[in-house]
Amino acid sequence: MGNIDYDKKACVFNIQRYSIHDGPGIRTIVFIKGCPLRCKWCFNPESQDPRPTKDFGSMMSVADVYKQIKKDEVIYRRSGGGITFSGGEALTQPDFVEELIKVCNANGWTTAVETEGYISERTITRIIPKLDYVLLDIKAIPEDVHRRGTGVSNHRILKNALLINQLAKNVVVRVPVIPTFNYSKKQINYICEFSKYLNNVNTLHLLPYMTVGRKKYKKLGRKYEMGDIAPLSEDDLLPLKEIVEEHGFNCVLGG
Amino acid sequence: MKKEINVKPGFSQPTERIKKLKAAILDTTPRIEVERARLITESYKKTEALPTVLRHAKGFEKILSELPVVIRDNELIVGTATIDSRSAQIFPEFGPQGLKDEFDTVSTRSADPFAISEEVKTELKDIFKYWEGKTTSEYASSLMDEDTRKAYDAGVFTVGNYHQGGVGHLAVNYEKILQKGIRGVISEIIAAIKNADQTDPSWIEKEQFYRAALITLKAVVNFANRYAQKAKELAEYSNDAKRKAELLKISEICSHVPEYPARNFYEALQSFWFIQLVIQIEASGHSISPGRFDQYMIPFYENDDTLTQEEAQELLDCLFVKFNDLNKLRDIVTATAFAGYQLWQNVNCGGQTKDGKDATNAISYMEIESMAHVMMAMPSLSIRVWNGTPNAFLLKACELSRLGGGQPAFYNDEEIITAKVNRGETLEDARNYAIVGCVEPASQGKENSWCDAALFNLPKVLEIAMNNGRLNGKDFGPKTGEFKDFKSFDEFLKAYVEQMKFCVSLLVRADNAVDYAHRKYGQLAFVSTLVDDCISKGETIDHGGAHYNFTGPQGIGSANIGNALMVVKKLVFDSKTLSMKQLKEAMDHNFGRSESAVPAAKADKDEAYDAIAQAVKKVLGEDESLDLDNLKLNHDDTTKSLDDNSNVYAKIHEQVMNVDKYGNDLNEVDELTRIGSRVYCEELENYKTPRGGIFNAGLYPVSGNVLFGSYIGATPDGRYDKETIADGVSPTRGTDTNGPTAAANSVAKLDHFIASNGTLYNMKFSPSAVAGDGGLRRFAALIRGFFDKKGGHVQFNVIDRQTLLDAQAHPEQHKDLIVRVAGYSAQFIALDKSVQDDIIARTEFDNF
Repeated sequence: MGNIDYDKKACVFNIQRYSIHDGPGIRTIVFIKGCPLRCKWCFNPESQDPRPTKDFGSMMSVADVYKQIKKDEVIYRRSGGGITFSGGEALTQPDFVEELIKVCNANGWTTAVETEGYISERTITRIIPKLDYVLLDIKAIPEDVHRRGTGVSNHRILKNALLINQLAKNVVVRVPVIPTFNYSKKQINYICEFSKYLNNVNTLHLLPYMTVGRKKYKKLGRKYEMGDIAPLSEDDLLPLKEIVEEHGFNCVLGG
Repeated sequence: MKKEINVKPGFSQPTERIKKLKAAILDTTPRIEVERARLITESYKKTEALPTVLRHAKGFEKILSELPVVIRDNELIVGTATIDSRSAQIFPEFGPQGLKDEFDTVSTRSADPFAISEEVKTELKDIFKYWEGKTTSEYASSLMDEDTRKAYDAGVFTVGNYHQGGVGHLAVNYEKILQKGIRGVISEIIAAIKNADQTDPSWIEKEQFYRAALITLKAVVNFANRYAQKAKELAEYSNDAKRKAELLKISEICSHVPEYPARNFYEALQSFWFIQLVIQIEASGHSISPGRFDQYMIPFYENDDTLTQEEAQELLDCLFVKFNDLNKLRDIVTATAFAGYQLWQNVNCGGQTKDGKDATNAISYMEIESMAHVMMAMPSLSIRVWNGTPNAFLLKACELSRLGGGQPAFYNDEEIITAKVNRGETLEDARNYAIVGCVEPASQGKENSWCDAALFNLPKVLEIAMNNGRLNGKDFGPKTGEFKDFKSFDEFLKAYVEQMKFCVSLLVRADNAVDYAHRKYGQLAFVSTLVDDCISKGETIDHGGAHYNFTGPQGIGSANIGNALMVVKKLVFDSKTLSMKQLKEAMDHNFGRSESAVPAAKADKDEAYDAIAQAVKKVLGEDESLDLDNLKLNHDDTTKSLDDNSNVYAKIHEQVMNVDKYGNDLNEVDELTRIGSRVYCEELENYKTPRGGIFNAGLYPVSGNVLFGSYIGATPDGRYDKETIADGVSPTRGTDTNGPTAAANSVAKLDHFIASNGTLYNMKFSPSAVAGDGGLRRFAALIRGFFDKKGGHVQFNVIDRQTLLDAQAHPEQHKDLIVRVAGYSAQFIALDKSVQDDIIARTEFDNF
């Protein structure tokens, strides 16, 4: 396991306790700043920039984070829960995450990551096998659609998905369902077809579009490109759930 | 033969009979019945030369031999105190129950109305005349000294519960009746008489008790036989063959129990109910708690080959509905606060046996099933949890909780048993604790814990400490220094401790006065035969006959104390941002909040507020201690003037609110909360009760936190003048913003062991947060986690749509509400309105 570098730092913008939808049991999520994607619907736009700003995010050491996450240790034990790394894109800070994984292992807490897969192969080979659960975002299969919605090509993500599928102990595919982007049977069908190549995956989460980020764009001086599009309810996703299930996957709404 | 426990998810449907029984109760408008009051008064008029214990026994005998015997349609478990379901008898010997002023309004009031006929009114008026000057209530008042009265009137505490009515709050030895029958108890008394030294001077009083006890025991047998006779008569007239058979069976059972030992499950249930009923006919004390029902019922179920599981479940359901047949009249204000006709009959299940093994059995599961079938105000269900509790059982209990009725409550054996051993109970007796009333643990059949003896206002004591011992501007407690002159945090803390000592000593005097009044005029022979060691000692429980005696007053507002101490420490002494003078001034000006700050709706709000304040006050305080006009006047005064400096004070309030608050898993403030509440508990330990026990503190609120807030001006924790104080050991509403695990961790940091009369922690969840199998498992994990950290009690509100709507309208009161959004959970009020609307719509769907 090696020694743990408790002084390693990264910019953390939130540590949320009692998270119950991001892996098994009751978990604490460590949100790490910085994301290479620019999804139009992102409800945490201020988390995209990797640097701390005046009122958002602060540099925290592994020791600082440890102090916070161990507060719910009893609950992890009782619920089979643990720590989930999220962001931004947590794996943009692999060194930091790796040290925290060591901390979790030493304490017997399960580990999970939420990732959108736009990271280096090296990071994947290094980090993914050490985690207990991976929640992998796949947003769209057609490259042009993906680029339009997120600002980047999905080639790297899809390639990484295959690698993650090989290396991870448990993988779940998560799909944010966004009107004007992938809120259609066709797009979800594509994702299901692709997911069949991921033989470790048997569950898909469909997450309905939310507008909670809307106001934040104004504050950041950015345009909210989703405009006035109304949020989706879980009911809206029921027809898509059927498709996912027809493909032989378990489907969790809002997961 | 051991019956198998088949654990299944979900709950079955109740039978048609249960639905009908339930509907019959809910459809009845309760009324006031006069028979009990008439019979006891007639009896008392004829026994004036006798000692109290015999007078009351003879009254009880007369009541049970003449009270109308009523068997309702569809009933399988019979026995009632009143002709109409859910009606109330009157207990004039304890006081007039507020009726004197309410004869003409009691039937039309909005909360818990009781119909009353003109004849009953006239008769009761006449009856009350006889009792003037002869009640326990009036006698207790006469025993209180001036300082005690002052503290009582000013809301430092209230001892109103036992001051106004009977004591109750017992989990008696039902097992003895089920196993040995009343004849067994009679034999026990006869043996005690034979063994007694009749030359001992105490023999005279003992003999009176024994004689009284025998009268009451025989009266109960006679009462059951009257039911046997009645059932037989009804059977004769019944044209329905099935009902006829049922009635004949009822007749047979009532002629056998409770006189003889129960021979099967049905008889055991009927025997239990007679006892449960007559205890509540003997006196008006509520919280007569069945306690460890699953433990004393299980042998009758397991050895019964005459019933199918479904039949047994239906019988248990019948009993659970039957708990709601009883009722108690309270005055308008009390009824407003506690609407819903509540008697706090607390049924327990699970936990440990006396010898430390897991106690969960088939009846434990059946109790949960009955709760789901019945879903009525009574009984309350308490789940005892320890490390050896089967997870399947805990999950089942969580499933019930998820139905949204606020039942059951969960208790931690690992903490409570240790706490009771620390109070001098044997390990065996401590393991055999039952939850009584709200949250109070008492060793079943052995303890008279007087566990709702008072409500004590912790922040009021802090207020006195801030005012150099003055109570509402007048000299009262020891001179511990002016607030502005404290030079260190420790000096301030010391002043609080000094005032606590003084106020606790007054509380003790008040409780002892009430205790003495019950000892003198409240001697209850029947119930005493079911509490060890009354028979061997030859004394009633009121005289100290129980094996364990306590007086259990509960402190309220722990969170306010901790938060207030933290503000003083941080802002005044650590960071020196504020001087004591500035803080005091801001509080004196209600942190800049004045009438103008509370806009238009104020009048209505005040009215509603006052109604509640009065309500709770009434429950807890006797009529004559009420000084509502004065209260109202003060209230108006403080909100009248708009202060020029209000902005400065509002700014200070902002600073105050930014200081760390209890309920967020922050060690420093949590530790101060622990210290602030411990002081109260430790101080009480020093005092003895007239019954030979010690004082035993609890930290739980009933609903006294609303009333007690109305007695206190603004406090350093940022609480405004007259604002509600925190309930139980829960964080102040809306200040625990780091989620449920953080809040629970804070609560667990208090010393639950020393608050051995019980602690109470309320948690709220949205139904979707605990939905599905995963939700249920997380729910159970939260309870286990909190108990690992030695929390004592927790109960859940699984929030419905209405609450979410209210949270939208009043976000400031719902900061701690966690809901599930989409891929994550979030604080409800932090969400966009449209998302909130979405969740509200969804919740209805989630609501089972």
